[in-house]
Amino acid sequence: MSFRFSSPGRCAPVAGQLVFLPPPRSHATDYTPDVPTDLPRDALVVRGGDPHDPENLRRMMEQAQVSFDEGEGYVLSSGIGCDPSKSRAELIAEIATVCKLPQSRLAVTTVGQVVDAEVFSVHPDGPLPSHANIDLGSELSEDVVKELTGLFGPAEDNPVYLQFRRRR
Amino acid sequence: MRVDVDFNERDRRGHVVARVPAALASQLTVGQRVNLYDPPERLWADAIVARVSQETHIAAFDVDWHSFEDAEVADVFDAGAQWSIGVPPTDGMPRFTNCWVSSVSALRAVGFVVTGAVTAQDMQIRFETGTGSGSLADLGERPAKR
Repeated sequence: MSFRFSSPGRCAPVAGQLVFLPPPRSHATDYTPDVPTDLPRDALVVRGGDPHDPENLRRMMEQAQVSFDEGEGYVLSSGIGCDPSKSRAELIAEIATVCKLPQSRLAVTTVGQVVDAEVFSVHPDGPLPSHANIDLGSELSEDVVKELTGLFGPAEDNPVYLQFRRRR
Repeated sequence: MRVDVDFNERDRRGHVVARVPAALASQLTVGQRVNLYDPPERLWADAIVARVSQETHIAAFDVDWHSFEDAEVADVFDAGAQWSIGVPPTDGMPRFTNCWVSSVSALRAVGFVVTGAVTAQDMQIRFETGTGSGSLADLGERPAKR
């Protein structure tokens, strides 16, 4: 479930609505970051690789189960960022850099698209840009994962992948 | 040692997390150096085991984020059996700008001696020219699978 309100949020001044999200699940670590609880609908959600690759469906199911077994709930990782002063390309590059996405391709959606599905919620680990967990809800199924991957645009080139490559 | 992962998946400490086969989990120890591999991305990286649970077989890896290598994984077909061979990057290893895929039987047909050894940890395939007069050129060029 998601809640929306129209007051300025942590990432203001962003035109458009903000999305209020429930606090992240408690977890068994001593890491207590400054977690934003309201996210602009325009915030970009980025995942490395091609989520539409059929080979990834099984892996995403397995990873969500791993997260569940780790006490995080059925979640998948992503990078999330918001900066109205940057172009889309610049913001993607910043998210991929900060969130360490080494894949040569990546796929992008927005917080608004994710929460509009009314199945998922997004939980950043800290101030944006940041790693974020996308909560898949209380039941894991292929349909749920397919619904999530369907929210992402087609895979596009990762503009910063070379910075992760070994220098010779 | 090769460990297959999805480099997207992180815990809250930034470690890449994956469930590994039970036989592999039993060989992992905290602090051990491993090669992580993301099969769909054909992507390798160096990492150190940060934690491993022998109960859940879930391991977390501290990745060297500047050690990534794009590396082909060739499929070798032999008498209907399919082998997927991963070649982890190592220092000093030549970087191949071209590679081809062929069958073991085709290699043997032109005189190569092909031997293999498979363990739980890795696979070694050895190609020797043997007594034949053939060369790889006799196999023709086929683009490597991606």
